[in-house]
Amino acid sequence: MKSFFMALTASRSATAESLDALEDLRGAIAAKKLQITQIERSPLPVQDALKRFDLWAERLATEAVDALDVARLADPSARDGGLRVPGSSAPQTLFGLVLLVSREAVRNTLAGQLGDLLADREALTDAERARRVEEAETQLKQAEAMEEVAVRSLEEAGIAVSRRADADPAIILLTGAALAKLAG
Amino acid sequence: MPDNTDFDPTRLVHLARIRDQRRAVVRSLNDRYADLREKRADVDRRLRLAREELTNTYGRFGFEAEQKVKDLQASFEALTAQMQEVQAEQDATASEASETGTLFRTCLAFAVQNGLAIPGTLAADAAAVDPNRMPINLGGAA
Repeated sequence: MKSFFMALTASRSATAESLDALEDLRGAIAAKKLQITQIERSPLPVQDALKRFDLWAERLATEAVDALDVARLADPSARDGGLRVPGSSAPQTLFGLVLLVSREAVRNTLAGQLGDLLADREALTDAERARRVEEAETQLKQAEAMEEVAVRSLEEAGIAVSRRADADPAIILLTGAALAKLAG
Repeated sequence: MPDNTDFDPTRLVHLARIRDQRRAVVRSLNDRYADLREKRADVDRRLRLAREELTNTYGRFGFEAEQKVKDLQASFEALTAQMQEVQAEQDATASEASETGTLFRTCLAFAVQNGLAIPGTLAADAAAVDPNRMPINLGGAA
């Protein structure tokens, strides 16, 4: 009788440990998902941000010049002989012309601002971001596979455990062998 | 990336069974709650009568009427406490049942979209997921 109770106690203890391990795994999964979100939201390095500025400034300057209808200056029939600034896009045209003549000065100011803004934050290039996300997603899949292994093992021991409603079906439906392989 | 041979669509049957079990528990708790409520309504009715009786009773019979009110009051409170316990259990179980239902539907949709052979017992569920595409294996494992 004593050995029965000892076995029962040991079994309960093992179950509690398995449930604790499952909770730990779920905590790790939540943390990994958060990490992926943080990687996705991490800013671009200053140089990459300035490349975006260059493309935008180039487009705005070109559109501004196009909007002025320069041909009017050479048109002898044009009544006032001046340029035409469309009323609806006048501020944008004006800004495009500012960038045309002093892009470097604006760029240097923005570079300083961006440098201050990103000083304490980890910046990632698109390629590095994609690599980091892929790496974290691989780790997430492995953790989710380990979670499903733990759930199946508890179920086999007769312990009812709930799966997460947002669990990945591509993990939940894996065969035992594929699951074990993914869990490592 | 796993291919279709890495998936076992009969896992869906297991998930459906868990969903059904959770639903059964929810139904059972609903029944239990309704039963308790009915019992409490009966005790409440008897309690009101006993209180009326107490106000019209004197002497030795007054003690018995008083005791009756006390007993019924205790029953009423005990039933209320039981109802609260069942309600707490209902809330937790209903939430679990909802989660298992959501996961089952997600997994079933995944299986249908990836052309996995859906077990015959789940043909109706699969048809509800995507009526235009039903890779149902009616002779499959269930």
